[in-house]
Amino acid sequence: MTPRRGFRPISVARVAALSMLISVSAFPEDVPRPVITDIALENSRKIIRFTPFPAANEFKVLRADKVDGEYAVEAGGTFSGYDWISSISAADTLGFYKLRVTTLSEEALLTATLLNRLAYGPTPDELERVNAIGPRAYVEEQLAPEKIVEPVDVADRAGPPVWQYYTFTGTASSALLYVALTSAGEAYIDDVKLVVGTVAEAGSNLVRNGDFELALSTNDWMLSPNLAASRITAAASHSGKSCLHLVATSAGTTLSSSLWQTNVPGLSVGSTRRYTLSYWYRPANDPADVIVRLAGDGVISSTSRLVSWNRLAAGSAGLRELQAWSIRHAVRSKRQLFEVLTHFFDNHFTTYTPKSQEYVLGKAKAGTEESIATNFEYRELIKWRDVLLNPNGTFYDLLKISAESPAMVIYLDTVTSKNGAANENYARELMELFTMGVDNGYDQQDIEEMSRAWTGWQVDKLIPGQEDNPFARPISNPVARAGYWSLRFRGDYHDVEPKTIFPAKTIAARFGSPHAGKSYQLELPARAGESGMQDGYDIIAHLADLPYTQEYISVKLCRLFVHERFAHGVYDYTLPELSPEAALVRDCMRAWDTPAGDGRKGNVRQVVGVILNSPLLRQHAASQQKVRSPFKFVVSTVRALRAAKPDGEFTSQSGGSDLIDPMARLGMSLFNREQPDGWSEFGADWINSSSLIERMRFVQNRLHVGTYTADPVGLLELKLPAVRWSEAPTVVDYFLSILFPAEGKANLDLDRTTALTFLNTLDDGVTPSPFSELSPDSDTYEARVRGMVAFLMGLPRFQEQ
Amino acid sequence: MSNILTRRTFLERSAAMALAAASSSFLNVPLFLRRAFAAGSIPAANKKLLFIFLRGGNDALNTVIPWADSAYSKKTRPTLYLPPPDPHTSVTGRVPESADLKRVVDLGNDFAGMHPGLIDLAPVFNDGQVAFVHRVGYPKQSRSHFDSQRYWESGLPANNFAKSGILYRAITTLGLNRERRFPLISVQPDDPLLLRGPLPLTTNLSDPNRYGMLGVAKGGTDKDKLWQNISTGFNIPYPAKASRDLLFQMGTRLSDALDVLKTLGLDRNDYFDTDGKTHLFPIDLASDQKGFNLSSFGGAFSYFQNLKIAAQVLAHTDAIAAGITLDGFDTHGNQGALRGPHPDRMRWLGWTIYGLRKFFTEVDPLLWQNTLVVTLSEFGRTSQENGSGGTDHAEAGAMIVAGGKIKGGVYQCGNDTWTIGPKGAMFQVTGRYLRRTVDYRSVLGEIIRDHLGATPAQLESIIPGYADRRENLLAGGITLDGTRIAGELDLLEPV
Repeated sequence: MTPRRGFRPISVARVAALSMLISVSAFPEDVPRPVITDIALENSRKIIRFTPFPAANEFKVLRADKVDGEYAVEAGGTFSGYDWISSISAADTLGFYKLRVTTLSEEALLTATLLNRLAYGPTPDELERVNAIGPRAYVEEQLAPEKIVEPVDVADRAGPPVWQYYTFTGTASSALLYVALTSAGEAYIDDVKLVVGTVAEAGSNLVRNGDFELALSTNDWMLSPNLAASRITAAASHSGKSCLHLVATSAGTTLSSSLWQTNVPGLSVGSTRRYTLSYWYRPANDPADVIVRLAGDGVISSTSRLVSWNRLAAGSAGLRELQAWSIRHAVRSKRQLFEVLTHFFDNHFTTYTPKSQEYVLGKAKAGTEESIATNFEYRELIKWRDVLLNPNGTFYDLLKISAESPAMVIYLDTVTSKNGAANENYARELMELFTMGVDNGYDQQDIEEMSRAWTGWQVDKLIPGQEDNPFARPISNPVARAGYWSLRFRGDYHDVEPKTIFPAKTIAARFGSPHAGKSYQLELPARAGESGMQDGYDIIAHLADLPYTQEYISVKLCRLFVHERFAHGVYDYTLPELSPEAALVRDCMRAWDTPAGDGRKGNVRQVVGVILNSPLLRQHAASQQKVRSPFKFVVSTVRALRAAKPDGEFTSQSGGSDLIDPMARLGMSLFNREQPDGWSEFGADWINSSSLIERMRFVQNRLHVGTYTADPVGLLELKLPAVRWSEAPTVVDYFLSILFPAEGKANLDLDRTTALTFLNTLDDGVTPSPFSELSPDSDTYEARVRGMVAFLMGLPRFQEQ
Repeated sequence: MSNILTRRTFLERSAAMALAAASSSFLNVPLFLRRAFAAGSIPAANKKLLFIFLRGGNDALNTVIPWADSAYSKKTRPTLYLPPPDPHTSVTGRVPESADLKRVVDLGNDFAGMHPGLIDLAPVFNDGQVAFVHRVGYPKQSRSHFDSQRYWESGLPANNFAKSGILYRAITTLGLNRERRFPLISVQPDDPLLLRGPLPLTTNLSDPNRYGMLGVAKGGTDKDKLWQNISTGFNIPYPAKASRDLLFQMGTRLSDALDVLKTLGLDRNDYFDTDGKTHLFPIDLASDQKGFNLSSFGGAFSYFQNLKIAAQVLAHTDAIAAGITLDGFDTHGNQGALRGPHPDRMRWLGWTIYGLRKFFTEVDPLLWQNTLVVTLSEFGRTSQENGSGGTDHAEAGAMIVAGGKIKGGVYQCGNDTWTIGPKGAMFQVTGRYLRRTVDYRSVLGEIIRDHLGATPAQLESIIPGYADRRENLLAGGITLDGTRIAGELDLLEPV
């Protein structure tokens, strides 16, 4: 545009002194300052247009008469997104304009980044807690998971199953109460209560014989044939002397397949009056979940069983149980960093259960293949978790567990490798993917030489009691006889000749002191018989702390926690000026090399601590720079609305198994990654048009009226005083604050406007229907709030972390 | 390929010749130069490309089989060996009418045959519409799946940081993405690098039945409202973040896809062979007249489902290129000669090429004339079978290129260039691997220029160094280690 005299836009809006200070300390210089792009006059209103700025909380327009004059805030105008519109006719006001931006505080930004990176997304409660204790304290807490007490439902080694309490508040859709199991199996249930109002157990119980202290009679409960084996039992009870032991031959829903009670008295069917159901549940030997509900969908509650620790430990669990177990931990654990790291290393040392199943097919009792394959994965996980719970745990410890895991020995074909016909697969991926990184200090000759060293590592069913003895005798008839599928070393398969790996190779100059130029040749002497197994252990001990390995693992951790743009094999650490990324990797390698605790290199916790305390993580270079993987996305979706209610329940729930299929549809089925590079940390690998729509569908499915896995209205009622429930702006602002904590208010202004329109229109999206006139007890209110939340969760920003 | 020296001579003089040739008769100018001058004038509007990535590293030596090489034997391949055609009654350039499907199927050049599983493509081959290109690779071949797939897909060997695919660059450089709703289609769970780049041009159609909102109100009465609001959200300005351009623009692509998909009828599968019964796309038991599901090695139905959608969208929209994947080629163990994961996939591929021709021709006979089907795979496999009845990662592999205007035949697997025996072509690299004689970029380059219509300058920016004769991509030449590289193969009919 052509500048007029005395009226010139300042194209680069310098921020005013105060906010400039904030900007400089919080944000690197490489974030462009907001720029005024246009000053126009439309309909006698002055319009100033400008560009966005990360984490902008508030914009102000300042004006002066002279370019070097005193700039004062222009009060007479309103903002709409990145436009400012004067509220008075401004045809002839000339002046100079600047833009001032105030951003989120550095602490608030870091808090949001931490809850997205070292945790599976923020919960409303965790946001409040971490904002209160501060991000530093949170990092310290999470770096010592062994000191965090877990809720009983995710404790790894829970004793016998415990009683769990469930409640649900809803309307009376009928006077017919059903109790059913969701599959064939067993469960214990006790103290079923239904009371008037929203407070569990407050008032008289409308259910007859809900405490199961009396024998079942047609006056109270009736049993369908599939539940005929169910009995009142004194073998367990939550209160009193007895409870009901439900035993089902098939899944149940209604009259012909449930335990039911008719004519529950005192219910006002079809009204908006609220009732609260509560009961206690305990999983049994062959656990199934329980549904307790009124016919219709006014009151419906289902359990999510603990399953499965017992079954996993016993080796009888299927893959879905292990997937559910992993997901449930991600949702519920207070040791969020521990869970993130468990998944990271499991994914780093990835294996593929179908290949394990294929290996034992025909060798194991028919039908047990899946549980054997699942058990391989579970055993790895438990061992890795022990390392990560140990303040002295090292990368070597993790690597050794992977190398010894039957799943890995099968997955990368070591089981098919023999003296004279060595299979290269494991040797290649061990260097390319698990330790040094591709093209980082090894070549094809090293792969071939190393592959000879792994010959003899096999998987067999060993005699009971000998499962940790790789030299034990395999059992002769593994299909029929008891035993334990485990690592076995066969000296007769081993290539006994000496091997020289990395001959005459020295550490690249770019690593600088103290590594550069040092030889890392590895000599393996001729070894016959059982001693041949030592080859493998020598290799992993050698690889675990090579500078190449330190670099590659540090780079992967930085990509996990900070942003994607870290690389291995390229940084020259001897340069006087390092990029922030190269400098952080160097700092990680220093921590790796500096013996701490018990003095062993590669202490995982200390390397991670360097990253979590790095300046880079505090900056915009990290904040919201990554896309949520499918695992992070589904769990974040659950956690985003998950607040603890006074009765111990949560406003958003998942037992884990309900998230398995949505994750698979987004391309991620845990323990089922066929390629050995593991699931990607790169966002572009997860975002395409169909995955985006699947993400929206998942959110909408969870928020659908009549499903009770997510209860945003319950969350509002928990967090806002009743007088605010009908205020559309208050409701929208609350959800914006918990769903997008890393984004400033000013950058959400237009989304906020859209959300307000959503709340204030009918389902056609056009016809006005004021939110303030809806009763918070009404279905319309429920659907409006749920829809608005589904809209916010369908936005691109919710896919970020 | 006897004209290699001639080509080199011409290329060395090409700079001088270019001006002269442009104004003179093309009579004595070799084809590849004539093409280079004519390029840029080819209308690409109706061109179609389908890429099938054979993931895991296809065993090229059991795909296009050098049966006349004594090194292809029971000794080098104890369980994988297939006996030569017998009697060998080779008809030049043709697959015999009735072939013994327990043996290599003769391809009519007295040297090579195809895996018998591919037999369904015989009629297409016999019409001169299938080219088998052997010994395809690139300098300093990587034997890592991930690196090598990245190099193939980016068209940039040895570049581990490539962020765009070769096809993506072709489409954007030629401006073919402009005013097109579906420049690129991916029908697989994720979008391969081949089709990816900074702009979200790819539409992913892995499950078109799930393209729509659910809504949260009873009966989903608010699903249109939700979509309107979310799509409004995609158009709100935002501060720059690493993934935001991708996320926001992918939303726009989604809007377009939702509009068009409603009209396509992608759930149709009433496409049959001439017998009126055999489905061209066996996507479930009811349509599996070929019996592909009898194998226990999985994957046929979902593969053909993806193939069908790719074919339907290519045939009925403005899409130019589609990418699908066939997994399961990483056959380290129990690969199988006549039964097993590899022979199964050969059968699927043979039927794919036959079925696609049938399908496209029925939609419009001109469509098949404008279509190319190209298979890619990250590497071939060891010439020597391993101890597990399988093969390990190796170097050069084979490509199949099919289409109405292809010059069919067998390339780089004949008496003229293939040295035989234990020290011959099969073991030419470190005594283990088949050595490359064709750079995959030459095959793709020729396609990008002659099929999509790139000018030489555009091609140079899509494949850096394409015209640099030291790279041997255009006219071929001798590399440092003495290998003769073929350069372009003249796979396409003259313009």
